[in-house]
Amino acid sequence: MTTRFALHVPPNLAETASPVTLQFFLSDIKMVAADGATARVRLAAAPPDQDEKTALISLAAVDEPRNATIHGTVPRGDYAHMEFLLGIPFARNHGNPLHAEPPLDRPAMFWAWQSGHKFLRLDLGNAWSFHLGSTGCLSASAVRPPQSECRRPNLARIRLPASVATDGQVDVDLGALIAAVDPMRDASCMGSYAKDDACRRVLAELGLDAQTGRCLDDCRAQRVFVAARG
Amino acid sequence: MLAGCLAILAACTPPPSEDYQWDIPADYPRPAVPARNPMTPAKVALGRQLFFDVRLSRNSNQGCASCHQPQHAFSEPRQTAIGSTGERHTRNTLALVNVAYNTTFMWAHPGLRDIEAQTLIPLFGEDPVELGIAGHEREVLGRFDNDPGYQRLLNDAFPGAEAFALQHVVDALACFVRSLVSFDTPFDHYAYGGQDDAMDETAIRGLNHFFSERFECHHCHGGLNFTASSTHRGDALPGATFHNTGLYNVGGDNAYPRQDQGLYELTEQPTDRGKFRAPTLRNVALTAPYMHDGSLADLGAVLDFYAAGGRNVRTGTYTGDGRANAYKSQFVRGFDMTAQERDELLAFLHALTDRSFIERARLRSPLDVQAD
Repeated sequence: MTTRFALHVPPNLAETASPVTLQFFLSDIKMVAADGATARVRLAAAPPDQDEKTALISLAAVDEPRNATIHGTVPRGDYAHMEFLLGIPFARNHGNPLHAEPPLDRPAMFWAWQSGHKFLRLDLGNAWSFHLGSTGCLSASAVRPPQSECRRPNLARIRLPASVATDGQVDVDLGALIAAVDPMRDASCMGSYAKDDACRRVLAELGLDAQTGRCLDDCRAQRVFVAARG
Repeated sequence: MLAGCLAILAACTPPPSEDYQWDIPADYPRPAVPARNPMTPAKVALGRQLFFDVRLSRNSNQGCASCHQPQHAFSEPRQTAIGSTGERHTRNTLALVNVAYNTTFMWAHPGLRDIEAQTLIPLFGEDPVELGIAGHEREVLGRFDNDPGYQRLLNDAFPGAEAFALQHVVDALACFVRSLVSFDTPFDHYAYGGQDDAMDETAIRGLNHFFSERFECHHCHGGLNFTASSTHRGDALPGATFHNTGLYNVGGDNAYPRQDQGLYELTEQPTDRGKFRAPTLRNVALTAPYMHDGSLADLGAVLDFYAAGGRNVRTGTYTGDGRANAYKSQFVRGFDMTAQERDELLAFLHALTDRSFIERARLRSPLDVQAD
């Protein structure tokens, strides 16, 4: 299985807020049959951008993408959908960064033990940034891991047509993600997503409820990740 | 007796380069070293001798250590540096702490990829003059050729070399500067070592402020070395290295003082005006004054500056409200900070001081201490 991700940036944005860079983690990738039965996709161990469980996609508007594809093995079968978690599951998300193996070893994608990794990092030049990750994580200090799951995991489960898993392409539509944002005026979305109307809507575009930090209706309303028309 | 001597001799044989003993804890990542110039104890020893030797400047007035002083984490308490000919620089002397991990060097230079390339600037720079040896290389190198002590160091570091070449000086200095690693801090023992009592409550609260979204410090001063311009595994994010912090806005024109506009000096991109590299915060309590031009006297002033979201210069040549500089980083937005939070942040910044780093004998002048 090879799936490619392509960044789509509204033209006016590419001019005013350069460079546009987007990085995000994918975990727990699985195929879903029409009857709901699931089969786990085994990612290939291919450092530095993916291990068997998690892949890091790094895209840019102008420069060549650093890594645009995920590679893995799909069990034989007839599937309707491919699904993935946008981010890193709790059990893997809060480790000592000294011991993090690729692709979890990127400092730019790590906050601190307590809050874990940035699941998605979008930087529009110097103008505006969106850093998505778990919030409401309780621990003894910023450099101690939480003992129990964060109050707002902010892990979106993205569902796409099964066809993207066979040499398919997923378009990442920045225009949809930041439809509610004026990058030249609005404050960046860095953690207190629920406090800010524009940030709430950014999370909503991923299917997430900023108040609860969980998917609304299984995140089905997300329209940022879409299968490219073959 | 004979057996004892042999054992000592064997122990004194320089080990191959991959056996170079870094002063780095076992589970910390090693820095990437250019394959062309591997670390060896002999090159570090030669580099150390050169680093502290004033004969490395044309007029024998200054060595590297004249500005990069060990007791100040290899920076100096002056606002801006003064070169060997007395010329005043526009910039504050940067500390040399874990620069082996740097992705970029200097305050604002996107093109230098390793310490070897950087070393040429203080040696040869003419605007401003630092060591000032441009055009006088043979004269300066001859001083070391005629010194038996240096000949021994040269032979150990570069077996077969008969006379000093510039490359020997550059490679040895780079090895010594790479050896300046510092991870023995209360913060490291607390965070990475898991020792709950390595930092006190006040400093831990400061740490929590530091990593919070409210204070935003860690966006630019994040990672192992508290700077986005550092890496151990190739993770330079474009655009994340240089920042305009709102220190100036001369004439309300988004300008920095004409003598130093930061990254713009090299790129000539208007949006790069006032952009400088976020330096490491390791040992930051030892490196006052602060900012690229040393215009903030102490760490308290730095915290107040970021709390205000920049600096409003009210009088003088540079009058203008830096807080409103159009090129200012989005992370410098200002924040409310109580007196107690300020004290806690200061306590945290002091927990980044590595006493063993500035006391370690082999990082100090060979003239001051017995070789170890």
